[in-house]
Amino acid sequence: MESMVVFLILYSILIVFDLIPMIRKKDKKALFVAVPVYILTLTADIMLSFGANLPSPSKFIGNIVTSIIH
Amino acid sequence: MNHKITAKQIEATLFMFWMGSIVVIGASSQAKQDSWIAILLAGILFLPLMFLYIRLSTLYPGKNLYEILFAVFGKIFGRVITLIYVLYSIHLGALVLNVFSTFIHVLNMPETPEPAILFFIILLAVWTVKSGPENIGRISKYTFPILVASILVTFVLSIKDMDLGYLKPIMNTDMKTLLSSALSVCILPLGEIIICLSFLSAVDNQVKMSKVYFQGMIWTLAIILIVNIRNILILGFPSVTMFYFPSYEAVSIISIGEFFSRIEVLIGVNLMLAGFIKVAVCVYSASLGLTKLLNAEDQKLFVVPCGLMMVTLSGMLYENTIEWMESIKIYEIYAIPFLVLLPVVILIGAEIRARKNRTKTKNPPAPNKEAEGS
Repeated sequence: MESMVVFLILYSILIVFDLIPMIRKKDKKALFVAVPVYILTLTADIMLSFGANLPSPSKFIGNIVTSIIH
Repeated sequence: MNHKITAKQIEATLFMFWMGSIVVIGASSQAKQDSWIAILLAGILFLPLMFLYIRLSTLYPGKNLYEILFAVFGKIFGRVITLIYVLYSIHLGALVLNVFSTFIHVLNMPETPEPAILFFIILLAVWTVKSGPENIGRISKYTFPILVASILVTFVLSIKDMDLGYLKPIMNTDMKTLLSSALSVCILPLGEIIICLSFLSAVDNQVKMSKVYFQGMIWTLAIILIVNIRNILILGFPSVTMFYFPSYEAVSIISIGEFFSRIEVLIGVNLMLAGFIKVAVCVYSASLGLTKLLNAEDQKLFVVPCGLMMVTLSGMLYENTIEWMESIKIYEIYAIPFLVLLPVVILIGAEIRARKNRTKTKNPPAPNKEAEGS
């Protein structure tokens, strides 16, 4: 729960000082990256703060490396 | 006002980037009491890679890594390799953030949620990168002496707790283990310097990059060597391998009289300084790559998305500290394509491209007679 509060504060700061000015600038390329990243990372962070087990990229990389070595 | 990075600033940035996580984790310990020999060997093994980076910066003066990629491989392959390095920068940044939060969470603030630790680091890193690459250079220049001084202070203060016997028997490790250990140091952290090539376009044109690389590497090797010897002489083997953060444990032993103790806080400060620079460099490199990838104009707009990806990824990487320690071995193999193979391919491509350009300038195409006649 504390983690979620921290994430919400972080995202509100970033939305106010980064995303809203970006929307005002109407830079399509930047918005094309920023909006999906904000949505996906916020969702993932909230899920992590609730203790959800998201697939770890390290395990995936580890499996690939191990399969190549052996 | 000069906005270019000076020689001293880029040298300090390279050093701080290299020291990023090594000051806490310590160098590879496969070679046990001979790991100091492995570090020296790593310096020799790294030389060809360093010449590769020097050659790249000579062939394309004033161009950063991504501009070189586009110039060498064209738009399509250039974009593919740029995307690879953007993802690698984000992953590396996430790894450093993870070391940061684990270190503080495990040793200093177990009650504080890890996102709170990441929150402050990433906000500061994003702010620094948004202020321009020259700011990272400036911060590195001023924090570099603090890091060196704190390491030297811990070394001198711990002399009374050292046992020279821990270094014996010297050269008792077989050549295979020694070379493997040297290769580990060569890849992690020395090889990671390719990310710093993103700074080349921001460096003053008069800076001699070969001198910067050499001096930065010598400083780094000297400090890694001091840290490693200090840890071995205080803790000895196998105790060094028993701790997640051997530097912290080694320095925590220091106490002078009954009033001068808790020096280990300096290790945390070192991580703060060097780790922060490393995260900032990764954020800068990833955002610059994204800008080039999308052919956008303003790099600063991509800084926050890259920082957010790093924070989220660092939370997803490992479930516990044991998993993290085991993944370091995997990382040494996983990083080889990004740090060794791809740079070799880039250099070969750059050399071919440079030769083609030279033959073009030597034998310019014959002038069109019809055009001349008209």
